This record gives sequence, C-alpha cells and structure tokens, in this order.
Amino acid sequence: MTASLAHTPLADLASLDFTTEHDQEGQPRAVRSGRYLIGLSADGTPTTLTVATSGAGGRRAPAVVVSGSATLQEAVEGSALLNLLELSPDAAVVLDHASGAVHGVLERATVDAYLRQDHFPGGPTRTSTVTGDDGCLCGTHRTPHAHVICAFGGCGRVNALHFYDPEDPPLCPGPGGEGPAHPLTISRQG
Amino acid sequence: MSFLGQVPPESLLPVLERLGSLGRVVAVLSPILLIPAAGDLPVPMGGLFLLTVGLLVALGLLRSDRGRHLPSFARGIYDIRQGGTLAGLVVFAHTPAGEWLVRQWLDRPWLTGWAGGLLLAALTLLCAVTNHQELGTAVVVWPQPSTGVRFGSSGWTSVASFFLLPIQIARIASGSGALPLFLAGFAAPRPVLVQAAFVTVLAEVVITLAVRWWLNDFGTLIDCSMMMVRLWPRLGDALAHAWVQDRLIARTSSCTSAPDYSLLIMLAAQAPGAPDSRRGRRLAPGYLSLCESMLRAAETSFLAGPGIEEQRREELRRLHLAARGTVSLAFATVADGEGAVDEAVARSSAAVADLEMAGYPDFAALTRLQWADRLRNDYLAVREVLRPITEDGQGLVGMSAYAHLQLAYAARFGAPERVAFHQRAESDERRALEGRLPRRMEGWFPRSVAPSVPDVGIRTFERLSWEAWRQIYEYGEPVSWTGVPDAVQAPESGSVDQPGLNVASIKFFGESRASMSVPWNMLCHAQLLARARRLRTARWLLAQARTRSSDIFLQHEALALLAAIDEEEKDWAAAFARWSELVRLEESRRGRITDVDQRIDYQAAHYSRLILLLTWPGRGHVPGLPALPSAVAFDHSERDRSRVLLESLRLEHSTGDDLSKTIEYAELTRLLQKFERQSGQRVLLASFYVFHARVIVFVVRSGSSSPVVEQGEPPPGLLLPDAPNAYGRMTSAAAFEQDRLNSDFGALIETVARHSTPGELLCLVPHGVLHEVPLHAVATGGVPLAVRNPVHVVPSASLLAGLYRDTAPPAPREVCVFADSRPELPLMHARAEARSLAEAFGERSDVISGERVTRQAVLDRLVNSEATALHFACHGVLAPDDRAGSAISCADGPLTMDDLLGLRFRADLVTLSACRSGASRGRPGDERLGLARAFLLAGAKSVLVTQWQVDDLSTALFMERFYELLVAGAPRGQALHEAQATVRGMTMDSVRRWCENALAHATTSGAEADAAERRAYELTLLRLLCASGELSAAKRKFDHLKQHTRSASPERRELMVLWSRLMASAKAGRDVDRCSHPFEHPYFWAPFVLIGDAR
Repeated sequence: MTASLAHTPLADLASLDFTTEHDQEGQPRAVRSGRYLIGLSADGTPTTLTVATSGAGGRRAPAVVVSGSATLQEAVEGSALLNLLELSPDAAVVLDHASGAVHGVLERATVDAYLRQDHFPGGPTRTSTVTGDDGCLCGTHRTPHAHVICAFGGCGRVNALHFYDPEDPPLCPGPGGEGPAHPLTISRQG
Repeated sequence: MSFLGQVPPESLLPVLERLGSLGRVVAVLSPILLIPAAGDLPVPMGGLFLLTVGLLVALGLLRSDRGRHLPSFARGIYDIRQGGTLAGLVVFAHTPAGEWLVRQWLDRPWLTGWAGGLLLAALTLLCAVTNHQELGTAVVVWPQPSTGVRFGSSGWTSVASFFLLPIQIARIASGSGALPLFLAGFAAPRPVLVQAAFVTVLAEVVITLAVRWWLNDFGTLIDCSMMMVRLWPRLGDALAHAWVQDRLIARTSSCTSAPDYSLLIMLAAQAPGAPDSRRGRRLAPGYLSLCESMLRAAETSFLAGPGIEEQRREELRRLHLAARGTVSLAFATVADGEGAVDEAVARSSAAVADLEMAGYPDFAALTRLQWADRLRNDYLAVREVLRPITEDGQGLVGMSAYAHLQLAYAARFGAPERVAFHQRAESDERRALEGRLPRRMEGWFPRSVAPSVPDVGIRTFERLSWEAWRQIYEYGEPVSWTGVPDAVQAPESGSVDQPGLNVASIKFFGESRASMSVPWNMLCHAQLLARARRLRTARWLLAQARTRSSDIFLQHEALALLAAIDEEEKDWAAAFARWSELVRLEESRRGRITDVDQRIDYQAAHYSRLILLLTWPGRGHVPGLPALPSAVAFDHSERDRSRVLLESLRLEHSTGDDLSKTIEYAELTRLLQKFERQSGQRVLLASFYVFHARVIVFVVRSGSSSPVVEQGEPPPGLLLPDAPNAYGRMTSAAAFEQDRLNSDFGALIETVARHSTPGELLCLVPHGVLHEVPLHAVATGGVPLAVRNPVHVVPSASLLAGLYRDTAPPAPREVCVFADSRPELPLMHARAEARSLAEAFGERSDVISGERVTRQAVLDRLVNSEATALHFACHGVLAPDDRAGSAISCADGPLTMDDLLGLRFRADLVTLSACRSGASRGRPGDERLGLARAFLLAGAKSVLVTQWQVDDLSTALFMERFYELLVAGAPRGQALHEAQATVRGMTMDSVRRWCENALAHATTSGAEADAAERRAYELTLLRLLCASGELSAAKRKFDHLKQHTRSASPERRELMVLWSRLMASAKAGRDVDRCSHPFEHPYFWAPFVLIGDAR
C-alpha cells in the first residue's frame, strides 16, 4: 500500500464486475457484484447491501453510498463515512459521479489498508473548506450517506442518513412523509 | 504505321497481366533452374552465385518499383524478357561463340566491355530505325524510372534502353561482364573466375547505388531521353504516341479513371529549370519540343479519337487545356530566360487563354502576373494584362496586391502612381488576412492534370512572390534600395520560403505601418529561410531589417534568430555575443516587463538559450566565451527570475539602493562569506533553474570562483499538470506522498546533499514549480533533508543582497498575534498557541482572536503596530479567485495578497501558522504571487509559511517551541530546525502532558467560551489514548464525553464521527508502537518553510 492510495478516486478503487438483475417487468431490482448483492428501490436507489455468507441468506445491511469522484482520503478524513460504515461494515456502494448509477463496491479491506498507514489519526487541520463568501462544500462529489429502509411496523420508507448515532436514532417521518414520526428502525436480517 | 501506335488486342490484356505478375518469379528462378539442366556445372557454387544474382535482381525490382506506377502490362513484358534473356545467355555461354566471348573478356575485359556496349548500342539503333518491337516496348516503359537502374539491366533489353551516355555504357559494360563471368565459371571452374564475378557484382552494386542516389539518376535519365530525342526526332514522336496510348487512352478506357498527364507536366516542369546551366540550355528546347509532340499526339490520337465517351469529352478537353496551358507557361519561362521577350509574352498569353478556358481562373491570374512581369516597363500593356485581376477581381484576393505591385513596378517613373499603387497593394494584402489565401491554394492548381509531380505553378508562384517581395522591400521605404547582392539567391524549387503564402508575414504586413512593414517582412522572411536552412540569406535579411528599424521587439526577434543561426553554424562565440546583446536589450526595457507577461516569457526563453549555450556539456573552453561560464550562467539564471519583486522593492525602498540590480556570482560568494563570519555557521546555497526539458542546480560556496553546475532531466513530478497542488493537498500522514516525493525529487536533493555536510545551513533557491515542492522533506540518506540540515528558502539569490546588507535582525521583542479567527470553525490549539506566545512575550504581546480578527482590524494592526513579529494562527484558504495563492481566513472574509500590496510594516518576521499559507501562483519570469511575497514586499525579512494542510495540535506545539528559541536568541533558521526536531521527537506522554496542562488552564479559567476549548483537549486526549492503544481508557473517556453532549447536537456528531474514525483505525490493525513519537512523521513537523533571512 502506498500513500497514493489516499488520492485515488473511489471509482478507481471499487470492484467493477457486476451484473444487474431485473424483475419480471424488466425493471432493475438488484446489482450483484461478487459476493455482494445491492438491492435497488423502484427508482434505482441502492437501499440494501447483502453479503453472501457461509450460512443461508447472507448478511444484509443498509447501503452506504459514496460518490466515485471522491478520493479515499476525502471520504475517510472529510466525511462521516467510517461512522456510516458501522451500519454496513462490509462495504460501501460507489456511485458514478455523473449518472448516480451503481459503479461498484468499495470493500472494507481497502479502507482498512488506508487506515493502517495512519500515524496519529483524526486531528483537525487549519484549513477551512469554505471561503468567506459561501457555504458550499468544496469539490463536485456528494457526501457519503446511507439509505436505510425503516423496519418500524412495516413502514418501509427509505431514509437517507448522513450520520448515525445508534443510541439516538433519527426520527422516520413514515411512508410518504405524512405518517406519524417514529424512531428509525434498522433491520439487519438477511 | 509504327508499333508504338498499336495496343494489344483487348482479349490479350488479361493474359498479359497474368504473365506480368508471374514474370518476376520467372526472371529470378529460370537461370537457377536452367543451369543444372545444362549439365557439367558445379551446381553448389554456381547455384549460390546465381541465387545471389537473383536475389539482387528481386531487391532491385522491389526497391525501384516502390511508389512507382509502372503499368503492369509493360512491367510484365519487361520481367518476362529479363528472365528469358538470362536464360538465353546461359545457353549462349555453352556455345563455342559464347566460350570465345568469355575468354576474350577475361583477357581484355574493358576493351571487350566497351566493344560489347557499342555493339549493343548499334543494335539498339538498328532496332529504333526498324521500329523493332523490343525497342518499342522499351520506350513504353522508358519514362518510368523503375526500368532505369536495376541490377537486372544486364539483360539485353535493358541494356538497349540506356546505352547512349558514357556513364551508362560504362556501367552496363561492367555490369554485363558479370554474367559471362559466371557462365565461364560454370563452364570451366576456376577460382579466379569466381572472384572476378564476385568483384563485378560488387561493382554493379556500387555503381547502381551511386547512379541512383548520388548522381540524380532521375534527372540523368531525363537528360538521356532528351538527347535521344534530339539525336533522333522520330523517337520523340514514337515516345509521344506510346505515352498517349499508355497513359491517356489506356487509362481512360474506364469511366472512373483520369488520364495521366504527369509525364508531360514533369517535362514542362524540368524545362524552366534547364536553362540554369549551359548543358540545360541545350536541353530545354528538347524538353519543350517533346512536350509539343506529346500535346499534338494527344489532340490527334486521344481527344479527336473515337475511344472517348461523349459525356467525358468536355471534361477531358478541360484537362488537356490545363496541361497545354502549363506547357505554354513553361515555354514562356524558358523563352524569358533566353531573352526572347516577344516569345515569352506570346506564350504567356496562350497560357492564360488555355487556363481560363480550362476553368482555372486563379491559375490563369497567376499566369497573368507572370505575363505582366515579362512586359517590363510597358505600363499600358501591363495594365491591360492585369485588368481582370485589378478590376474584375479575378484570382485570389492576395493576387490583387501582387498585380498592383506589378503596376507599380511598371510605373516606376511616375512617383505618384507608384505610391498610390503601393498603398493599394498594402490594402489588398491586408484583405488577404481574412484567411482565404492558404485555403484556396488547395484548389488552385489543376491537380487532376498532374497528380504526382512537382507543381510548376507553385514553383512559378515562388519565383513570382520572391520578386514581389523584392519590390515590396524596394518601395516600402523612401530610402533607395541598394539591390539584393548576388550572394542572395532566389528561393529554390521545393523550398518552404514562400512569404506570400505565410499568413504570419502577411499579418505583420497588414498590421504595421508602411515604414514598419518592410523590416518586419524581412524578419518573417528570414525566419522562413532559416527554417529552410538557407542561413546565409536569412542572415543578410536580418542585418537589413535591423538597420531599417530600431523597434525594440524587432531587434529582439532579429537578434534571437541571428544567435540561433550562429549556434546552428557552431559559432559559439558569436552566438554568445548575440545572446548577451539580447540580454542587454531586454534589460533596457525592464520597465515594460511588469506589464506584459508575454515579454517575460520571451525573455525567459532567450535566457534559457544562453544558459544552455554556456552549460553545454563537454564543450570545453571556446575563445570568445567567458573564462568562467558557470558563474556567468548563474548570473543569467538569477537575472531571469523575480524581476517584479526586485523592481518593486527598488520602488518601495526610497533609500536609493539599487535593489533591483541582480546579484552577480562574485558578490554572492562575498555575502555568504560575510554571513559565515557573522553567524559562525557554514552555509551552502543551491539555486535551481528549470526550463524546457532540463533542471540545472547551481551549488554555491562562499569564496568559490565558480559554482558547481549539475544538470539533469526534470523530475517526473514537474511534468504533471497538477504539480503545483500535488503536495498541498496532503491532509494526513496517511495521505503524505513521501514515496512520490522521494522518487520525483530524490536525485535533485541528492545533488545538494552530495555537496553539503550534515548540520550546515542550506539556502535553497527554487525555480518554477519547485517553489511549491517541499524540497526540504525529500529524503536523502534515508532521512528528510531538513533532518540533516537547517534549511531555508529565498525566492532569488538577489534578494539576499538586500537581506544580508544589514546586520542580523534582532530577536523579536514585540509580537502581534491574530488567532482563531473563525468562531464557527474553532481552532482550539491555535488558541493555546496564541496563549503560549503571549506568555513568552509578556506585556510585549498583542493578541487578537475570534470575531475581532476582521480584515480591516488586521490591516490596521499591521500598519500601526510596533511589533517586530506578526503571527497568524488561523485557518488558511486559497484565495477566492485562485489567482494570488493562499489567503488567511479572517472573521469577515479572506485576507489576500491583494490586500497587503502597497502596505509597509515594521515587523521583520511574519509567521503564517495556517494551512498552505505558502501556496502561490506562478507567473512568467518566475514571479510567485502569494502571501509570502506580499509580506516580503511589505518589509518583512523572513516569512514562515506552511506547504500543506497542517495538523492543529502539532502546529501549536511547533510554534511554541519556535518562539521559545527565537526569544532565547536563536537564529531563525536554527530555530526552525530545532523546533522541527522537538516536534519530531515528542513522545506520547509529553504530548499528553501538554494537552492536560492546556486542559487544566482552560478549566481553571472557567469562562464559558473555554468550554469548547476544554472539549477540544478532551477530544485530543481521546485521540492520544486510542493512538497509544489504550482502548479501555479511551472508551471510558468517550462515554464520559458522550454523557456531556446533547443528543443530535453538532458536538455529539463530531464526537461520534471521531470515535468511529479512531475505532476503525484500531480495528484496521494500525501499529500502535509507531505512536510512541506521534509526530515523527514529516506530515506533522515538515510543513514549515522559512522564506528569507535565516539569521
């Protein structure tokens, strides 16, 4: 592992060999990449990431998506990716920067390889990513986030989380955003 | 009826084509197959030699046929006959007569050869007289050079085709000798025969190569042909008929193919060149006579013949007219060269008529120009000839100008007309700038007439344009033209110098004033000539241009070109003198350099040439060059850089000192000596200079007479498009690209290390992109350079003259600190950093922090403060427009270089303790725009900046130690070195103690604002615990912190993200032992760079 890994865009680090599975109506329902199966919502949003295990069914988790244009360093140091990966510890789904479609899977091992090079981690630096005039995030990529299907009483709403505190889960507004809000519930069953 | 007027029956053509394709194989194989059949032959020996001959024949065929378009019919006949000839000779050698011939050849080889050649000549003449079929076929294939010279010319037919010139006869005689010798060797094997055969084969090879490549074989063949035609006019007619049959009728048998007039055009193109020599003058009428014969044959046998489909007749007629016009033009040119003006005018007129009828008005207009030129001073006639161009708009736009020039020339005795015409010509030339000239040139010449030969029209245009330019030069200035000296020849055919076609030169012509246009055009023309390696003419034109204009840019360009020509001619001393003159010229216009970037580009390029000249490896001493070229090269590298800074310093300093004067090598070494005496420390200056594909390192020692110069390829990192930003984007140790840094710049720093000793002060003078590279962090001998030596940087060595002129600056006594300017993005360790400075300086400190750090407040303090040190502990950002490098983030916006320009400070030390505060943008002339430059201009002697995104904690630790050393009186360079070592060597415990002390301080103060600071230290301690592997203690601290943060608050989120990060690192298997010295990695201690005075 060399330091140049840090500056490599995630799109180049993601495994690319995947096949798309369609439902009976021809709509894409899932993307299979190696031992990973990425579940897609009706609008094509990755919602789950299932890892094939030795047992039946595999291990399913919410899909953490990250833009392929971000470098590994940007994703690890400048965002809550590692926090979100606690929801989906095996991998993150890399999206194509332009189209937003699934580009590949960033495996945890790649992130760990970067972290092993770390010396004294996590300190703040004296740079401000915003100028005095605007509040836009620098760069062209979106921050990582997790798509979580709320399992509360058959809610089924897909919530986008940019940060996750297991002891203080956010409120899910319910299906269509109109139902009574309830604590977001995450199901990890395969 | 001559055979030449016949063509084979249509039904036979496919068979002949087939035989033609097999003929080459037959030619090579048949002797080899026949020799053994002849019996009693030393087959291995003879077969080997014949195989050699066969291969040579094949090679000759392949080579000579490359790119040629010999008709397969003719080629087939040729090949079949050649094979048959060889076989026939084999048989002949076995007859008594053949044996006798071989014996005679052995006894009197040359006599026999000549006699044989002459006999063959007579036989061939006999064939010509009797219209023998063999000769007819030979003539059919004769115009093609492929049959001219080849090893197979030992055959009878080939011999018969080229026997009239002595050179051909000699060649044939020796070449023909080979085969009988072989045959003799087979008949009566003797070593001497084999050796003789081998020698004759070699002679054939040498002579063939010589004739083909060194004696202009093609021209020789044409000349041979012309002599044949002159000697035997009937042969011309025969050729013409053969040409019509083979190139016109046969080719137009298909509706899709066009007749090939290339031979005709080629002969026409040769004709105007023929009068250049006495021999050619004899030949030119022959060329033209043959052309006329061919035209006549084409008109009678081709155009008027029955073989043309009616719908193509008009098209073919146009082509024929164009070809005839071209021949008429050649006639006119030859006649003009012979002084037959009337004939030339008549032929020109005919050419114009043909070309206009053929539908080539542009080509016709060109011909009109030439026609007018032949009318000399007959103004009325010239006007009449040129009327279609000047009044009806015929021809290209640019031609109108030439037409007016012709008129001006004809009206040379009427000054007002001449002036008017000249003005008109200028105007039309300007219109040509619209860009149509080069584009329309493509369709200018009827290329379907001459698909593969030099364009006589283009050549004519070359000559015409040269004449036109002479006239432009002549009338462009009131000063009378002394005439072009004989040494300056008109452009040769095929050269690239066609000034009329060069848009750039027309541009100069159009944009400049009339008096300026002449020397500028001369310059442009000289550039074209130099490119065509016509250096003598170019030099003459440049000298003329320089005497006609004192324009500084013209002088610059002319000098540069003259120097380049000197270099081309390896006159190093002259080139050096030119470059030196150019440097003086550039320096005389220094005032303008600050305005126009391009000028700096030019200057830099030419300085580079000078340096290249001086540092050319292995050249040794050259009379006229400086005795110490390396020192002079250093001087020029120094003069090339940072001129705006020096100029600005001169303007700012009202002391009268000429700071803008760049330092010279001798003065620099004296300064370094002075520095060493004062500081008691040895110093080495390494100046880098990057240009084109080369990096030069000047290693300067105090008291040395000349620098050590080392050159090398530019590091790969310099070639990357993002090179300036490559190292500024490092945000963590994991992202620090040490390997890349070492591989890219290791060799460069190794040079510095090789000439220095550990511990001595290094002064680096970067150049170009190297300003943005952390050279001090590059490893040498396994450790970064900054570990081995104290390092500081100056933008140019000349700046040292201003810095070291005074005594060493005293240790800072008062400090003004700006800290933590963005409350929404707090920098808790920066606060501690400010506090530590306040403690170090006591009452002599002025600390402004938080929202009070506005841009105006900063500027007010900068100007009015009595502090000798300014310290910024803030966020750093790139300037919004990304034009002026980095900026300091203030509470109300970024403080950029632009804000600082024009100010004067009392402070002589400025510390920019922020991310990437040293980032700058390059401009031509090695001018760097950024905060560091702005502070130097404002009066600071030293600026401490950072080169990447710095860690808040390690930076605070570094700064605390740095100022501690400064206050104690340490030189700045040494303080930097020791502070870096301190941070590098800190242990986990010492860092933790520092944090706990800071936390205690924040806790005891009790202020509400310090709650965030306390929390920051708690988080830092959490990091330290995790980093050192004390995960249980870390978990307890995390739980403690979590209990004291509100859920869903930003603080909670920050804590959770950090905890995830720390746990992920721990789970990933990071080596915790590495953290015994948490800031050992260069990312933490090496971002700091001291620019300026190191004392």
